[in-house]
Amino acid sequence: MKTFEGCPGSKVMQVLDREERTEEGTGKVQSHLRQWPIQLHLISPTAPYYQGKDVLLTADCVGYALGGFHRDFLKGKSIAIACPKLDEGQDIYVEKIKSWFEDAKINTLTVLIMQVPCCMGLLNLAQQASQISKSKVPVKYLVVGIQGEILQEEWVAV
Amino acid sequence: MEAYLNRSIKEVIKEFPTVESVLDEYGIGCGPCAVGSCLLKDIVEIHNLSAGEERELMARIAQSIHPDREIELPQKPRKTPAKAHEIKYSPPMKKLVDEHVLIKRWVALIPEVVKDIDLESEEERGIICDGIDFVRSYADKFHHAKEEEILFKYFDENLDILKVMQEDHQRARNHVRAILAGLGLKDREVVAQHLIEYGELLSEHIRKEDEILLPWMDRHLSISQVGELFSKFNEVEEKIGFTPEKYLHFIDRLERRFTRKEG
Amino acid sequence: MKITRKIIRIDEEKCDGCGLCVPSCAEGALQIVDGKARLISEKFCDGLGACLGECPNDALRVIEREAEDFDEKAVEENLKAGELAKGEEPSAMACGCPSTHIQTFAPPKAHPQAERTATHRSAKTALSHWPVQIRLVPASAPFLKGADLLVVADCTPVAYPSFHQDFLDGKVVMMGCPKFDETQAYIQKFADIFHTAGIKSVEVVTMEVPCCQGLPAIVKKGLELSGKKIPLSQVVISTRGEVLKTQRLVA
Repeated sequence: MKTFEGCPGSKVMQVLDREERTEEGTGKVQSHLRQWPIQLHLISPTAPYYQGKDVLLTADCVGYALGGFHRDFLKGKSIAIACPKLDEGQDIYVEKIKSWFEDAKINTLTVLIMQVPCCMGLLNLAQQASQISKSKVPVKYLVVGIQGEILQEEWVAV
Repeated sequence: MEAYLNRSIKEVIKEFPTVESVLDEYGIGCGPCAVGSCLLKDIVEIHNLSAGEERELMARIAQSIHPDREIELPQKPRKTPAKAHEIKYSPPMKKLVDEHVLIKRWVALIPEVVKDIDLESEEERGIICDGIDFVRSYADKFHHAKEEEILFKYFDENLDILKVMQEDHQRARNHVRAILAGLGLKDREVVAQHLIEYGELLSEHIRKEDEILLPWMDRHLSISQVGELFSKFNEVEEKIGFTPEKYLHFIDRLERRFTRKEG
Repeated sequence: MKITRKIIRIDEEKCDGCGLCVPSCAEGALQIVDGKARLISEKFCDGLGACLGECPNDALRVIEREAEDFDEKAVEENLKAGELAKGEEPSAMACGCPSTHIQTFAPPKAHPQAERTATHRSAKTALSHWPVQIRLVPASAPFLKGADLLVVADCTPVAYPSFHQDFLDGKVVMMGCPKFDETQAYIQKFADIFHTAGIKSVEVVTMEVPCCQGLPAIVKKGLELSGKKIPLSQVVISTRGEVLKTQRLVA
């Protein structure tokens, strides 16, 4: 895989905290995204916006199925998105998650997946990383139905 | 009925004793509770009944309070409340529940220990002392350092359920003091009586925590708070310094000794 | 070698080319050709009839007649070749992988679970179909017919807070990553869709980062190849969740 130092698409950016911009009457909604990039292939697990944070690991499709994804799940968290079915080079994924646990010392990991069976692969990656990691971190997972309902919500045994 | 929702359960049961048995059928044991200050309307939320069960329960309580009125009971089969091993806990809660398991193993041995105990024997007094030491170090120090000093502080201390738990802890400590006093006087009756009552109290207390309190807390803690609790629990264990293995071995040894006695 | 055996039969009168049977065949024996389901080759059909349950028009039957014998090796080679050539629909799994299972539904009015679940009161979802990934949506999907199409770069709903209300509502969405995905196959797919599905309009939504700009180019190329005239517009979103630019690409 090429290195991407030059590509702004993968350049690490901390989006600074700013005051509430919800403007009454215009219906403008504040974004809760505080980082770039977001794709698991592109992120560095030790980037400043992961240190000690609550991290959301989300399957690509979840934002399309879950109407309130941005406000209900992203707020206050850092994120990475991936597709466990179609992404290539997934071995690096386990390493990155492990690095979140050991190096970034994240507070928690929440895995959001769709109800389709191939999505379970994302949770499996997280569990694998948890097993081989020296540091244990609470991991929670939620299964989202294609009509946007939360079908299941559980903590994984550490 | 609405007026009664804001009364304490103790008052409601006093006025309408049948309410106690109705609650009992739903696995809610408010009757024997020493505190009883939980409001009727809060009880259902704490016990996490399904919407259907809640409607049914409230209808039956309404019937107990107003037996002359026609109240329609929803026709639904009732399911028994989830047992501790079926409940999924967050990692910090799971830690506390696992520690309860060891305490329950000790409690299970009490009837055997008390059976033919000879307080004249230094060895046998030693067994009781070791047991008390187990309870004080493992349950009170190791376990409560997390439960009472960290977890409970995430909630309003005036919450009725917390008051219930604190009351239990107090009564437990009273029993321990009485047992030690009895040991000093070599009073077999006192020691046996308090040990048995202590065992019963602990069993019931642990069941309340495992099946009601901890799941309720899990429902009310944010993901972030769960992560914080997990870290704080680890930190405090490192600070305390002693390892749980020592207590595991102690219980193993005790079990081997007292089950060998039977066989 | 021809023998008398069980094999499926497609009633072309009843078949409307919806394509639901295609992913249900683990052998990849079915394809939509000229708007009808067809057996690519008799050798690929094992006569099991797993496809029967998928057809909403009862156009499939298992019959017994003289036909080429089922050839497992040929099936394997075909599946492999299919993946290499197109790289789009992954070979359907024997169980009919639900991730490729085509579904259309109306976005729900309210979430009954929302009241009980204190933590997650989700805003209404505007999604009305499945799948959503460009790679997984077949050109023949029924929900594409006469739709207003939204083509989106994967990251967008994460960066843009009111994605469902502002973009997705009333539209059919296809999502992909122009940086990481097999974009050649996408051009052909869009060409097929624009050619056959009667798409009313196309809006492409991407992030501001340069690697995202491949997506409108892919869609535009597909439109050109299809030979159809469909209004095409583009919206660019900043990483801070604001609309940076809206423009017409094709009137």
